[in-house]
Amino acid sequence: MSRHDSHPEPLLRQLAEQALPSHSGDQSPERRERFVRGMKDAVGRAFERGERKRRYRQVIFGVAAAAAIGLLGFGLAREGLEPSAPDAVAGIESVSGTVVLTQNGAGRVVGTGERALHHGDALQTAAGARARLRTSKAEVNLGEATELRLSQPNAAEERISLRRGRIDVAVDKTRFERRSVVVETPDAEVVVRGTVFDVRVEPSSSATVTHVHVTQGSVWVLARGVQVALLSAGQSWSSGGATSATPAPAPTPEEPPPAATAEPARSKAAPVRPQPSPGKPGTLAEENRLFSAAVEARNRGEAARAAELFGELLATYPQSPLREVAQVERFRALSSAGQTTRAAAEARRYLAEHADGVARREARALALDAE
Amino acid sequence: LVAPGARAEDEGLDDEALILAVQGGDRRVASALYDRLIRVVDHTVYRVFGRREADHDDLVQMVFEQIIVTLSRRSYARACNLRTWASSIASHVAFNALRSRRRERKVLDRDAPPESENYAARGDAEREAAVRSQLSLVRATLVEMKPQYAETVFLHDVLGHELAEIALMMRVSVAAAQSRLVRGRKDLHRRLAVALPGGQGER
Repeated sequence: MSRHDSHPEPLLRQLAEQALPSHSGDQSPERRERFVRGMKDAVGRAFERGERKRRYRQVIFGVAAAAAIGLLGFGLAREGLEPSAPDAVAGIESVSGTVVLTQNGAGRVVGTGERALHHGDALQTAAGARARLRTSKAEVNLGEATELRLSQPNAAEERISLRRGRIDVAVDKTRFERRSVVVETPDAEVVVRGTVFDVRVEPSSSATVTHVHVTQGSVWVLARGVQVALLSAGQSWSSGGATSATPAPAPTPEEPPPAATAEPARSKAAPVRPQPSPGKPGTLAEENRLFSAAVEARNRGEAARAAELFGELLATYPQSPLREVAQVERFRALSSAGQTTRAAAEARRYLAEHADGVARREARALALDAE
Repeated sequence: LVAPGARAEDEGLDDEALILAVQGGDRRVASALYDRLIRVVDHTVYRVFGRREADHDDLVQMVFEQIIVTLSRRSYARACNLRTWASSIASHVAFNALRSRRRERKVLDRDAPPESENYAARGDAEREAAVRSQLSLVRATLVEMKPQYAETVFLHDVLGHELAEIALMMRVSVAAAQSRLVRGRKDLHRRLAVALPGGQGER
């Protein structure tokens, strides 16, 4: 066959011109009837398939619309109806017996399952009842007949106010390393970053008595904003003084609490009195007032004001027993306020005075960061 | 839309009415659709195979089902005539069937025409045999080509559709349809040069 024969056009033309068969047999009524019957079925099936798909799409659309409306409503409820609802500060992991949760002045019995706790929420266990909470840094077990209140944590601390009863606290020092857990009682504050301990508040004839017992690690105990004890594992402290099972070590300037905290304790029965400032006897009240004002400013988030007040305390009472604590708080406050250069300078000053101070690592990190 | 059994009325329906009836699930439209399209479907399937296959009616039924499904899904763009579009569907279904048979290596065994086949024109027996042999080779070659090339060449050069119509049927631009046609012809030429007797030296 020649080269010309392999060209497709003539062959395709032949294909196009190929004679078609006569259709006498194809046009039989039987054949038509058979095809039409099959086509009717096909029309019916196709229509049903289309309807099913349409219904499916409608269901999907309905579900999607309902979900969108639900999400929108949820968002509006969060944003609009409860604008002041704060983020959870803790969660109830388990309860047994009757436990009452008071939120916004309304109390209700807590059921099973975790429930979010917010700033200002109070929890009370009845006789024989127990509850377990988890905050960002600690696990807190409430004993029977216990009442506590939770506060919004900040970078420096998370605070649990124990009114009465007993809590066992396990603090995970690997979480939020710069944050302390503070258990505040009517008589004292227990400050810790990582340990296991328990705190009891018992009624006494005058007011209340706070007992602290440490199982692991060590805790700082403050009264009126001043360190009154440093407890190690196995040691106990009581605001009743004579009832202490294990003598607490005397507070020393070299061992300040990791976070000097909060308002002065309200007990009038604190057994350990703050030592008067050696340089200026009789100024302790003023030192405490300045310190408390600074802590309150810090707790309000006014870091610059806190740094100023701590600075005023350090400048006015350079020999104050609160000096080291105030120095730590000041460089933290300056750092929080974004004054990194001044914070680093304060940290270096702290390191020069307290080479082995408990906040030395933090101070070094701050000093190095600023360089 | 369609009166039961009223063939005369069926024939009076235009394409649009037929399509709407199918989309509305009106089973009575089947006879009208059959009458409108059976001829073009029959011929297209016949041309792809070159004869009336034993399962010719099955293929025609498949074509009609495909037409109904496509109409129901509203996939038919209505840009071209219903008969033209049906020929495209028919050639597509027929080529797929032919490819399937080639894969099964059955096509060569079916070369003998069925005894019932009745040609409108018959010539000299020897010449007829040579022509049949060549055309069978063209069909076999088309089946081996890329489907879009083969179908474009078939629709244009065998069924005689315009490029613009082919572009609408295949949902491509006219330029793309033309490109497919040119490439398809070139590919067919190259393959025939090899396949036809004496074509080896032409590569």
